[in-house]
Amino acid sequence: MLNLGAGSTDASLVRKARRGDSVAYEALVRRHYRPAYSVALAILGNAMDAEDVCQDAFIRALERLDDCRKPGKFAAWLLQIVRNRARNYIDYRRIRETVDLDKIAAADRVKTSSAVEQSELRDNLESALSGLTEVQRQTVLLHDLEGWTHREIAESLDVSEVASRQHLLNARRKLRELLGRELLEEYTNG
Amino acid sequence: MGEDRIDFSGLDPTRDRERFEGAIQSIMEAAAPELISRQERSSLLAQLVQLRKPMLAAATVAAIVSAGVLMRVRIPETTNSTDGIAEALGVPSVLALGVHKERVPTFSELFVAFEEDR
Repeated sequence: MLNLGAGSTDASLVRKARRGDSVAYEALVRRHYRPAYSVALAILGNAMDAEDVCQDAFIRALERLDDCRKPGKFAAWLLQIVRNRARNYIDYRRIRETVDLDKIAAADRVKTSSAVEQSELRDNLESALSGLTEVQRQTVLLHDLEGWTHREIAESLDVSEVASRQHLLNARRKLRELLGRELLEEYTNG
Repeated sequence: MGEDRIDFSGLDPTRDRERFEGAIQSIMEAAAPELISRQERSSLLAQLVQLRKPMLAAATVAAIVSAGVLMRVRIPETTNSTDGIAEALGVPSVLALGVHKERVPTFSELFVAFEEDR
């Protein structure tokens, strides 16, 4: 992965991006893509929509970058945009016309076996995650996929650290039930 | 709590390198117009900032010169302030003088003044 702006703080990158520095902006996108995607996925429940919302949220964030009052807290500010865009997307999805099933079938035919395996794995996880509440999904993805601390999660979700821990415990318990022991062993470390 | 951690790497968007780079490229392409617009605004602002110093220097010089000129110019004192009052009020100057000096004009002064005014 390209490591643009590795030594720079978010605040410094935000200030440069405000002046139209594309390298700084790309560094921000690369640095925060995964947490943004995790939050979008937690709300939307599928990878394709999460990608679309992520792209949309990053563009919106750039357009409103001057509104980011605390550039050092760019991540929290960005994730709020992601949440808003994801919730709007759910409304849009509700009124969207019927899915073009032919396109989906054609896409499935060209998948390689590796892609199919990855797709199955992703589908299982997505399906299990759909059994959690939105806040549980955000907590478990930010913690277990992104490696965020409870303090960071609490700040981002505007909950207490105790609540964050509780959401994580409940999310994991529910996932165990939903995935089943055998399948979960494939996903669980040590 | 670490031992309970669930491996979500199957959902990691950076796992598929090609797909991830495609997503980044897509974002950068969509962001290009806004970035260019910001660069232009930024360079315009930079030009204004560069111009600020010489403009401030010029304004300072102009202020000093103006102050010097104003100090040299003497405003001529009015010879008789009562003339102005009389003219403004449309009354004989003797009345204006009376008001100015807080003195009641004598009857003869009034008579002369009104005779002259006629």
